[in-house]
Amino acid sequence: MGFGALALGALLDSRGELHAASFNSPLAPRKPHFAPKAKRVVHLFMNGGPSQVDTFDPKPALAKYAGKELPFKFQTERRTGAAYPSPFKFAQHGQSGIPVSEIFPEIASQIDDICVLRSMHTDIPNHEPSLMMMNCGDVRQARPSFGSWITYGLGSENQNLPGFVVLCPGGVPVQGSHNWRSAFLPGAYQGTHIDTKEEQVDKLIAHIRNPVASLDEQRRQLELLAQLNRRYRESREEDSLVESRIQSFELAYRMQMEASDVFDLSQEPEHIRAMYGEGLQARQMLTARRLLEKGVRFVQVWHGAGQPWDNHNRIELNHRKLAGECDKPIAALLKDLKQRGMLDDTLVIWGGEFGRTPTVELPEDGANSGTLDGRDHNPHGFSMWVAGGGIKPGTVYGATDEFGFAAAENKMHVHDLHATLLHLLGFDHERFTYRYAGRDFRLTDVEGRVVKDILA
Amino acid sequence: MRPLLLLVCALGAANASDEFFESKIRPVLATRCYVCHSAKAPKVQGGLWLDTKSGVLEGGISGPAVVPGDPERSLLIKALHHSDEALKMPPGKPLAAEVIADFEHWVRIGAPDPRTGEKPKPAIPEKVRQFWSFQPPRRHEPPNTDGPVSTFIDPFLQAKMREKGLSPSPEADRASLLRRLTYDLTGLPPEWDDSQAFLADAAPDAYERAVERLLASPQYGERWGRHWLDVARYADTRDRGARFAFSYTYRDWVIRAFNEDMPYNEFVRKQLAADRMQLDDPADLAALGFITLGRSVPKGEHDMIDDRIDAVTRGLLGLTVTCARCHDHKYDPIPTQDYYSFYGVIANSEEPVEYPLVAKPAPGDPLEETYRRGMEARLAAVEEFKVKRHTELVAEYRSAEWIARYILAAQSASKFNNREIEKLSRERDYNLFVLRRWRDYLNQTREAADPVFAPWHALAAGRKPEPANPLMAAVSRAGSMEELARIYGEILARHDAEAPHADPNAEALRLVLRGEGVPANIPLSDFLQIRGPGGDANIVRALRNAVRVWQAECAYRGLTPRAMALDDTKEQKPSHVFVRGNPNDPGVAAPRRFLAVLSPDDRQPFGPGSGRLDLANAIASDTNPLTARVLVNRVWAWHFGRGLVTSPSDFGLRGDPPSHPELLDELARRFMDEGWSIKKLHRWIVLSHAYRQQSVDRAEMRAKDLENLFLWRMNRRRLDYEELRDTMLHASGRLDRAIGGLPFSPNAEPAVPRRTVYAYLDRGRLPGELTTFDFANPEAHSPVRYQTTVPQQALYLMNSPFVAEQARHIAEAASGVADLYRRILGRDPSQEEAALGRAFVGAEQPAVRPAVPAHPWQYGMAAWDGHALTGFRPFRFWEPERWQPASLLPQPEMGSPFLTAQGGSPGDSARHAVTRRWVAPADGEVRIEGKVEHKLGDRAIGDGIRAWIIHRGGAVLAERTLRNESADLVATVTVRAGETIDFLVEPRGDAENDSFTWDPAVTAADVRWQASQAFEGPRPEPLPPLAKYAQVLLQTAEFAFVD
Repeated sequence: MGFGALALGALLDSRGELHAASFNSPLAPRKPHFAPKAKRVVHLFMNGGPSQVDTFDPKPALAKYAGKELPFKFQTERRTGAAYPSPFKFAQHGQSGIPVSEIFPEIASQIDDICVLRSMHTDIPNHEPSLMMMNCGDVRQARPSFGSWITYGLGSENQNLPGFVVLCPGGVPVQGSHNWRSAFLPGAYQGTHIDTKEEQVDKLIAHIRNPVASLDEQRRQLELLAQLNRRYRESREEDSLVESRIQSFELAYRMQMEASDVFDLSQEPEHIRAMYGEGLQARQMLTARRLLEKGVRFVQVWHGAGQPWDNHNRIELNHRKLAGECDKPIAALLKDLKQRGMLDDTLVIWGGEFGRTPTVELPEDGANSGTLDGRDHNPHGFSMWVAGGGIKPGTVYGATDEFGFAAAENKMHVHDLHATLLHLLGFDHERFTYRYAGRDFRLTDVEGRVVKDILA
Repeated sequence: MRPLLLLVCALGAANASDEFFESKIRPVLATRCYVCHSAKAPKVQGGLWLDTKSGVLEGGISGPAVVPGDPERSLLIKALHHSDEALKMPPGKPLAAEVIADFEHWVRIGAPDPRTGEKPKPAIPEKVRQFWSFQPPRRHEPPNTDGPVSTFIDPFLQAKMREKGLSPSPEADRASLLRRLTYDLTGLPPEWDDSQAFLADAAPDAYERAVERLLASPQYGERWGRHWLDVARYADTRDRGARFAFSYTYRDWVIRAFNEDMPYNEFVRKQLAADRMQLDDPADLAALGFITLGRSVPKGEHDMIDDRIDAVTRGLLGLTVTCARCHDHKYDPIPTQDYYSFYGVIANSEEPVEYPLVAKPAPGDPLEETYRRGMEARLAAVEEFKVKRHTELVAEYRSAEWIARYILAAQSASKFNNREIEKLSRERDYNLFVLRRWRDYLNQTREAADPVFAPWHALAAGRKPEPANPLMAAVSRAGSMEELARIYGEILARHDAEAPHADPNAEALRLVLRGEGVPANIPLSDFLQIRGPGGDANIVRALRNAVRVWQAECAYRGLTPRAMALDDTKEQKPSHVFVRGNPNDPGVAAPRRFLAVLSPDDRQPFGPGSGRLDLANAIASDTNPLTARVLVNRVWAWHFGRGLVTSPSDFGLRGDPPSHPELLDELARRFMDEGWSIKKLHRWIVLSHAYRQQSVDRAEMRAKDLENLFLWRMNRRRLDYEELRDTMLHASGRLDRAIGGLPFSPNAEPAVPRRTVYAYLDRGRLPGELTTFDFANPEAHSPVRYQTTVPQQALYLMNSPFVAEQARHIAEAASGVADLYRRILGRDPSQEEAALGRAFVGAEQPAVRPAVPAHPWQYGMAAWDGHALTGFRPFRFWEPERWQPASLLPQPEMGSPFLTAQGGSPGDSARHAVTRRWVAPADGEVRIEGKVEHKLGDRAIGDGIRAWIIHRGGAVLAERTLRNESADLVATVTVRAGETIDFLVEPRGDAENDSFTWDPAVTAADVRWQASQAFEGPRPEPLPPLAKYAQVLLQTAEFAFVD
């Protein structure tokens, strides 16, 4: 009846546009515009903004200017002063010889599978709008997140788990659930946030476990429910809305078990757990792999609550510590996906919402505890890396200026990144639209170009 | 003779230059530009017409295309050069260099152009004006029909059905009918007694009387008010956690307006402009919440205005005006200028700092006094900071170094357009506002041959800088602009002083920095434009926010209700188109006025003030073709599950056309003619046969109309989240029917048994179950609710504490299986069903509480006078991760007392001290230890707290006053089983910043009780067999669907 009767296949119509409507199986798997290279995504979000000149974009020229004003300076959030060379050493790695900072020795060992993007840029030097740009393609307005778009466009391979899962230990990042919101898309496409500091599955998904009733007790209740519903159905005709609601209880019952299972890391063999190492980052990277393996479409992994990588001061100490936490687990995730043959069709994305200045941040009241050893936000240029799922491995794309302040060669805006990733997932970003409020909305708004140079 | 000769010469010259135009310019315009910028263009781009002289000179939305004589400032030339990223014309490859050179020459010689003809006035094409939704709705005679007719609606529907080979269904049975009607009009199921009475009522008007009874019940307004709140994107916060103080007064106003059947035109007018109207009741000011209660985020003022325009235009007119924010609407006749006309109306309206009262405060209300004092302090803090930083910043802009930097940059930007100067500021770190001021100042001084800046402009033009002012002798030494800038900076800074100099030469220099309107003399009112990057902006935001936070704090403590009102700004600023939506790139003027497509050709600007009242009148008008249509269609959709127009907020060219145009017109026209009464409209609909017919499927009809577009049966529908929750509370007899007031928290355990419409809605952080059940997302106006089916909905019904709690209450109130059927499904069970139920209940084991050891901690509040602790009350509500006395804090009288695992916060006075109480499980000596810590936030406001350890409600074991410090509180004491030790915290003089951490431990010989380890929420209890059965009934399809 009514809206509910819309057939699943009709979600994508002949023009390749997806349609707004209500549906009974919002997560049923669907095909994109063309054959995709990547089937799933894991986005490792270094929230706060890692510094490019300390990670993947070495700038020896900064040493020449150490303690001196650079010849030019871009507008950032706060005031910055002289050039501030990286306290870290860089070395070339792998066949590709891509230089990586000493703080990422394990990721460096996987560099031949990685494509480093050195010419990323975004619009605004504040966390909130830049997080929104990276996740939702718009700095302020309430737009669906990348994960919501993907889950909407492709559905999910596992109906017993949410299609879009967000892992973050110890709380939520700045902007919280806005980062994974579905906005005007149905609520089913919103990311499900999981605090990976919690170990109990009932803290992971709302109402996933009954606090008192056993599965047997629930089974008996469901048997009775089925009998009562049968009577209801007999006196009525076929009604897909009624039908799918009745089915959803069986689905929910199975989901309880599957969800407990997927978060139970003790099911992993010892050598796999050893590969990821100890600690929260290890646990969440391994959880991410298990979710991807189970068919979850999009997993976003945040480094931590708030904005851990936002090092306005003591960048040497802090960047070293943060990298130390996630380096081995991320490298393990890459290796693990590869050894399972999953890296070929899994897109791995690493990066923050923006980068940091090559100049030192000046001490200011209420800003950076008055020290001269940190860097301010920098939207003009920053580094990210991508791997797997149709990405050209072992390459560097684009470049910043001599000092790493702004993207200079082959500039790649966040919209371009989105367009390129959508392309790998089988979507023409200009045709992947959703009609809302009289407009056909896109993740890339009216921008974005597919960067062919990074495609394998 | 002479005049004639001159004329001839002029003609001759004109002819020569006209010839240049004809040979070099016109052909290029015609072949490369006219396709988008002339009368021949299918749609003129950017409002620019290049096929007439006036079109070229007036230009489009970005301003004049050509400044005769000045190629550098002519947008047309700039576009041809492809130097501006956002302005490259023609698209693709630039024209050949020699062609561009021709154009430059043409502009330099004054852009001679012999073409005549006026730039056409933009007009809405007649074909578009004739579009159905822009035409006034007309009355239509109901067509003939031989089907069952109850109201004028039926003949229209049946005529269409006949056309399609369909026929209506018979009337539904009376039980189904009453259930349908009662849910539809009130959001609740029928009372058992009412439904028995209705089934027994053989009078022919029994149904009519039921309709009247339900329309008159206060629950009607709660249900239909909630529908309207979807349209109004209502929430209780601007964005996550940022509370509106009095959002509830708008929600309650809406509910009352529906209950009182306020005429819809008045309902609309008040929501847009109550502050500009003569009101009988000041409570009507609350109506303005329609505009003010939308989403807003820091620095997002343009998006906030956009959201308000969207709520007004999609919500009331069914037009997607915000599509025209960056360019003309792609499909509808809404030029971007019309968007900025709306923008001007909203931008010239502002929320008052003090919200107006909608009721009289009680005389001598101490809370009013507290509120007033708090406001004064906070407003003063904003001012104080602004003045301090303004002084510092302006001093910086008057320093030698900064003057040099800015004049040098301003010089290079002298011919920049808006976008170029924005780029410069961004990429070379200049404050855009100040840079523009210097740029404009330098341009003025050049034209005015200003003596101080004459040497500057001389060097810029390649001449030697010769100063007229003897104090500026140093400038003649400068060999480059950089050097000159530095010298200017030094000279000007050296002569800067607050008081005038006696020496006129020195005074001339002083005035460059201190004169009226000069770049560095920045008024305090423009402080926000010149604030330093980062820190300052955040501090001002925080200080301003503190004012709003204080208002909300007081409001939730029970401050006399006020309206989330709107005022016109004191001065009205003219509005301009923002080219491509960029506020740093203002284009042509956009006077405040109504939409072109809904106005006569001689459209007038709105009257005085912001124009909101004129806007309101234009929308709530009998001659507006959209307002009534959009509303009757919404009401229709809320009754039937789908509108006659299935895109209820888009009546534009790409919206869906009405399935029954005549019926829609007739409804709209009658609605207006009969006084805009929504209750009348309900009667026309719910009394119709179409509404009363069965929802039963008929295969032969379905084959012809799968979607039931033509209403050959009634649509079956699923209860929405509010209905689901309210019905569960209703079934146990615990539903609290109190109307209006402050919201409750939907997250709390136990559940607050109020209707869901009163739940606290935190925008961007809705409770998960609301999202799971497709509640309207208040991020923006919501035209329809989605209807998805996901397993999380079933999980909620299987596992949530709320559903278990309700099942338990229902079972406790019910006398047995049969009574459960009446309470939950509103009917008696069949014999078979009753037997099934009894068998299930009989087979289930009685509930056994799992053996979990009790812990000795309790959480609550008490009064403490330093000697005796009295009136200990355990906290009743678990709001995830904390225990508190009410579901939502603060509360009247007490403030915000609560306890978490690690600490908490006391209430407003010693009468509401919080205490973590330990009850001795056995006799013996115990040692008590733990660190109390109190921290002031960034703003060092507040006088701190006092922490106590109290034995047996009176014996003080330890005590400490803390303000921004920590202390170890330790004691050793001998206790007897059942005696209490209270870890109590009270506020001191004020209740500001009183949060603390304190995780005490009590250690006996062999046991240690650490407070945080035992901290937990309510313990779930297993359900007894009858409650398990009740839970299954709550999960049935029969419960969830309305036939």
